[in-house]
Amino acid sequence: MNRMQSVYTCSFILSGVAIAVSTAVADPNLKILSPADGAVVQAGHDVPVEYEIRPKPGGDHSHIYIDHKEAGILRRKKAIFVLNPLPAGEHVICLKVVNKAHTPIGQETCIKVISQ
Amino acid sequence: MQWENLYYALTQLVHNFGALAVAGGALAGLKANNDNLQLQRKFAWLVLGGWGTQAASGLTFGAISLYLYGETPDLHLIAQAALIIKVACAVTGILLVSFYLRRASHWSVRRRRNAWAILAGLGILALSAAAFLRWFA
Repeated sequence: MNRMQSVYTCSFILSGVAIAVSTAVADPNLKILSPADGAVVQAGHDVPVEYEIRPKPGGDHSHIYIDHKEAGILRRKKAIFVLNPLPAGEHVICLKVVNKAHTPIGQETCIKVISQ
Repeated sequence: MQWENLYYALTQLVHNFGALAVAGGALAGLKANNDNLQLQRKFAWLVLGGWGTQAASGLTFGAISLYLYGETPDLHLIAQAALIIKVACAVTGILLVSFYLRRASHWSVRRRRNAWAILAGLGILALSAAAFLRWFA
């Protein structure tokens, strides 16, 4: 294990790859078209989330999260994903672009919705 | 981007050969002549190496993500369950095959066969879980 990791570490250093620490900055190429930020949705009903994604280089597909828990995988660039009914209260819906290994690459957007 | 793909691809390459060793080695051990303990020990070493390779390369996947993006992969609940199964298989496989290498010379033929059957089952289970980990993450 140590030998393999050493090989990779050396490769990283030699290639001069910059470490890209992910940040939670909203990206204009990643849009939740509906519901709108702050929208009220009906508790106990499915919540369709319409999105449009233009991934940055390195991005492969996207994940959708409800209250920071992964709710699904988005393989289409523009589509509608239907979330299961939300309990009453405030919820956060986020989209994150991830690479082929499912690691967020720092391109993400979030909205809040109120379920009642 | 290309370097990133290369890192993951090389790790996947190692991981795949580890999978081949844990499943293929255990099935070969199961099929091998039970009287030939020396041959079975060679297969046991292969399986041990395979599980070690699986564990190391699995950790390397996470390490690459951490290195490049400061985060480990985001896994859905189904993928998390698959990962737990894989880790459990690796831990059990390493313990069992290590025990086999230390003690099998004192075991009955039946007991050795059972050990190989369990090792083969662990390899197949881990391979199956890998598919869910890959596509449900």
